[in-house]
Amino acid sequence: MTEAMDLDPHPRSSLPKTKKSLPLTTLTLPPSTFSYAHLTLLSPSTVQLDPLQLKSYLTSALSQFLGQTGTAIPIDILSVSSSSAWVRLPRPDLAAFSAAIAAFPGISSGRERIVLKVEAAGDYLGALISRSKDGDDIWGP
Amino acid sequence: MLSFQQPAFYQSSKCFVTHGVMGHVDPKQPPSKGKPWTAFASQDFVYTADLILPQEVLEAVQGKLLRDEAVPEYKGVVMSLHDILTGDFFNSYIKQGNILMLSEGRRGIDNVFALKSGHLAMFLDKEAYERAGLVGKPHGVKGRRGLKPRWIVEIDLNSSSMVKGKKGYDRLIYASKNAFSEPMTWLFYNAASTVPDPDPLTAFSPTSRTATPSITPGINALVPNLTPPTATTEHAARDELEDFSSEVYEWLSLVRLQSLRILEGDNIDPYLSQYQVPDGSEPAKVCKISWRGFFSPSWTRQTMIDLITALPSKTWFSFSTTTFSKGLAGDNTECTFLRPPNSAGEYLMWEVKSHE
Repeated sequence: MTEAMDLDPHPRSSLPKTKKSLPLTTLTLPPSTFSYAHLTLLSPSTVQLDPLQLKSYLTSALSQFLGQTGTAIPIDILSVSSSSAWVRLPRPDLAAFSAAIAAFPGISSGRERIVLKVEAAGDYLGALISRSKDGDDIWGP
Repeated sequence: MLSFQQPAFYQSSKCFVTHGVMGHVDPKQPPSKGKPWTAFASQDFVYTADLILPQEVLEAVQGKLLRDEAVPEYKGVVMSLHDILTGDFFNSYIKQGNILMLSEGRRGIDNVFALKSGHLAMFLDKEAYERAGLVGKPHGVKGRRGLKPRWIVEIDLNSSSMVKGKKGYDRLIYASKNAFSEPMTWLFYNAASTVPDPDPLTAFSPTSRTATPSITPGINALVPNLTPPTATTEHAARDELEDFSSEVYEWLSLVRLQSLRILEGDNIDPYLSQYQVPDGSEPAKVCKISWRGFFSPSWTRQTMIDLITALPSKTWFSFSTTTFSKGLAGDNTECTFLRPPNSAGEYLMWEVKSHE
């Protein structure tokens, strides 16, 4: 009985042909495994970020704040441009990560000081990428 | 586990996934009922739109969507609220036309005004709200309601009582003169097909802007399997769809981010990133087209209809739109639509929403 009930009513070959739009399945995604964070250089500088430098910066920041536990947070570098970077990390670690970045005074590179800040963070990358920012040129003259 | 609290500030967004079938789209009778159309229509002011599609159909889209006259145009203008609510502008654009306007600022911090199809919404702090002397409702976070720090005032300007001499209108004018007298930067979009003659907007010397699409062709990406799974049992189908939609959403977002991780032959060290494209990915060329500006949801719908009619029915594509930020954390709502390959009517849709 239950097995018969469980059969998928919509195998692909016989998707209902409708004139109207028809939702077949709706679901709310469970809390995601990962969170995403957008980091930017705090001050304009001539320093160009690169993945290795970013990784070492994040490791220093996390180890200062949380010691060995902090360095164990697995961080995936998704994209690095000259002054900003996108990283992915496990969702439960996001609060610790943001706190560590905020509390870190930065590292020196030559004469310059590199300080990163968390520009935005959240669970859904798409909504973060194209959010509107302060001082956006869309409002400009 | 560290003794940190769950991230309350950052976790406000929810993602709703819909898997469904769409009826035939007739451009002469633009559809408006049911998903995905209602999801796109529920966005108020669209800020960005991203289109991802296989490289081989780029030309078909270019002919249809990227012609000069199809580029959406909006305006930037400096006006005070009083200028909007009086004179020719009020009569010809608000009482008769169909316009969208949004003032500069962040909801939740600044005083922001939004005007859509004659419906004015003012997002105010407590001081401005009390100075205005208009009737509104508390707005924003539910906690600490005793302080009621933010207020929202909503007024339907199209209502027949919104004319000179009526009490409600005169109070609004009084508020606009005394509480909101300073000029603000607005974005202006005329959703009606006609422009009044003479145009009352010219008195405020608007600057015209066009949201010219930026095209990133020839991305040598590893494209995952984009066909939603079909499992035999209802329960397994939900689980599979959950996994599938999370993975594909992440992949689509990485294409939009122009990340190198999804490229074919990306050989970053696992020490730096362990992201892996979903299993069963094949190398293919994709391209990305992005618009950024100030659009109405009707533009989104027209673009979707143009896309569906211009592309061969076997081609996959993904179209996403985001709104202007709505809250303190810069949250916005986002809709991503995916039509899988080789299935004309099927679609998958992600709606990311934050609570307001």
